[in-house]
Amino acid sequence: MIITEELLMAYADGELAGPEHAADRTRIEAALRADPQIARRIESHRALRRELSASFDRVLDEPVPARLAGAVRRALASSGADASADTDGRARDGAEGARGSIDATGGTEAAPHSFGARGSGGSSPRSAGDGTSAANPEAQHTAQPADSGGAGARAGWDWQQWGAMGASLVVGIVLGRAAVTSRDLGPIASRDGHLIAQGHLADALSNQLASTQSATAPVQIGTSFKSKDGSYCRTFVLHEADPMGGLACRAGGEWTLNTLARVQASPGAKGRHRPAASQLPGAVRAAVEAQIVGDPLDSSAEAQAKDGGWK
Amino acid sequence: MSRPAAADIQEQLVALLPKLRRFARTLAHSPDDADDLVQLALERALARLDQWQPGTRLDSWMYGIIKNAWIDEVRARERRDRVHAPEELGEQVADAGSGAQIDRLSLEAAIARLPEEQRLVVALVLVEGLSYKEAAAVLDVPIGTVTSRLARGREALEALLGAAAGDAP
Repeated sequence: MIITEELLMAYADGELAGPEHAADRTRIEAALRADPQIARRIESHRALRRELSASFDRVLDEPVPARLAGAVRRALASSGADASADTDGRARDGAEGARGSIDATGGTEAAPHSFGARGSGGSSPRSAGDGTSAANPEAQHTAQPADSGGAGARAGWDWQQWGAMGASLVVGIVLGRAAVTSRDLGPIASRDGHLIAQGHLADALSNQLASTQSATAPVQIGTSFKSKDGSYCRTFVLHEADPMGGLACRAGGEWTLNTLARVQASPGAKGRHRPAASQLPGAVRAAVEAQIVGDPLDSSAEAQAKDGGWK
Repeated sequence: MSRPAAADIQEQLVALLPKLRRFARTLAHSPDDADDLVQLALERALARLDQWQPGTRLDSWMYGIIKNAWIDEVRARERRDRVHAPEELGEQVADAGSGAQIDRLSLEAAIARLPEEQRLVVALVLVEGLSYKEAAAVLDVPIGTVTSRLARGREALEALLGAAAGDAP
């Protein structure tokens, strides 16, 4: 008898309470008696829910910023349904005062809808009563210096194997010409002086879509684009003990890695959180810049290229 | 007449604000961005109050508007960041500090790592407490889609949090 994780999850969430689910309930409850592992799985689903609630319920206790209730009440004052004139005006007023952390990182020029630039009315210091408990840890967290180039452990694949490239900070850049003889180096092989993706890296490059990939996939795909020589190229981050970012281009039915560089580990991370797929080393970004023609593929073009075998 | 006065709906909206902020916080991570999102959604909602069906849940209606506003924002950011993601993204998901904050930061960082569609389902079901059916209505997807996204989101969270626990000093 197979009980899927989805069914167990639904049971844990109380979704199988109705009479139409009696058969599933009976099945699960029998399995529960027979297998303590089932009980543990159910409990872990419930524990995650409790943990999430505990974390986000704190928001309920925070004072609501006056600007939010104000937005509702102003709409009422300007009589009913049409609130837009008033609010648009305010959005312009407050433009600079209310930048969110995300907008601070990149231009807003192309954004039709940049709510980081929306107004807070400009007057009330919204950080005062508003979410300080949640804001503090984050501030601390982004303030960490981005220094340590990954003092992290070097387990997993052994980068020392890349002897020809120097033992220390493996990389910098490996420009496809390294004199590594053919050895099994996990997801990357060297052949005729080129580095070729193989194994799960090749698989992810061929089959994984940036738009649907799981956050925990061992390879995170970034941008896909057409290069100057007409081939498809994709950036990726390979999550091993020492994460590597690279640019792979399709040639002769294989993915040739024309740039590969170590991803700077987050301070103190030691693999606790993986670097974002987007956190590409500068060398990789430079390689993209040098090779890209036109815009990167959007998600439908990406899917199409995949279905066409990246030819 | 059965239609509640606009004033009544607006009072109900004010009462919903804490929950709407919680939902937005799950999506947007940054408190300021989350409140911007709520404000934007309120403005959109108030401009089309007549589209709300009396007798249906006002909170679900608002969740849907917040969801749409958020997706618009995410797409706008994707256009901006198409090629070069800002370095700060990496810092946001980085580990921070030590001590009692770790658990919570890990959880928020883990949620920030989920694909958008999974984060939405996790937020609606696990944080806001909607049933799968209600979440499916808000997201306008079949209930089976909610189930599978939720299962994948949970799996990813467990993996991310598990990794955190395993590596803690």
